Amino acid sequence: MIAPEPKISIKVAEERGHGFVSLYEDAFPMVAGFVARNGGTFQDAKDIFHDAFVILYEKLVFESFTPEITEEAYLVGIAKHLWIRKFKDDDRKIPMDQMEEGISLSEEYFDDSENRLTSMLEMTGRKCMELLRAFYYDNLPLQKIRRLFGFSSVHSASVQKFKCIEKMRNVIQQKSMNYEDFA
Amino acid sequence: MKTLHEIEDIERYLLDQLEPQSRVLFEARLLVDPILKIRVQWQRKIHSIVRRSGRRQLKTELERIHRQLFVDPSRSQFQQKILQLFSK
Repeated sequence: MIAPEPKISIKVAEERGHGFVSLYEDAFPMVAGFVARNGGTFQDAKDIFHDAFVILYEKLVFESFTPEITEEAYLVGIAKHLWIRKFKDDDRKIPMDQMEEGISLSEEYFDDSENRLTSMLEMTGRKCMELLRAFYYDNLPLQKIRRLFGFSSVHSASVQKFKCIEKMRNVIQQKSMNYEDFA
Repeated sequence: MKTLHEIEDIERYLLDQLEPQSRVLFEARLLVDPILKIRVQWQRKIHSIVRRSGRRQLKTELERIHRQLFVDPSRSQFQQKILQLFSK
């Protein structure tokens, strides 16, 4: 069982918060500068920066990727690609160096077909979603998950993870019976 | 417990953590067991939904940092520097 644990996600956020703030402070001005030079607004800069940040985070976590350049420079590179994508700008007008040209963005990131289902599962199973995010999105070590969520052992954390999947699967199954085009 | 073991097997398959031999076995089961096949699809969907939810969570954190950086009076120099970029 998951022990009553308030605001787990915030706890995790606090732990990594410091590094995030300093990367934000260092990299945002560079991305904002690029966006401003190309005629974008402050809001555009923020949106593009947040997407670039998430994409970098996923590369670091899932692909054990180590950029050969600074994270700041890499964020600018991703931002250029996002800009071209967002404004259908001719990529020849955006100067890129070789490293930047080599950056690829996965199409999956831009697919929002599962938004409603995600919202529903976040609402009906908040604790399970937090636990599964710790495992699959943030890729936290088992011991850390055990501590954060108050499990007595890593084994019970894993068992709970599989129970959560079962629970979500039942919800999805239920839904797919209601809407034929679901699965 | 049987269900949980199956979920664990599916997870290993999806995350590519099966030994080559077990993988071949699992793929053979997929061919003959349509229910298992559907369960794999659902579990893949769950992974994709968790990823989506993780992104939302991360963006919420970034919004918070953004607000912090742009309202904190002690960071007025930073704020000025950014706003100047957009004032032209």
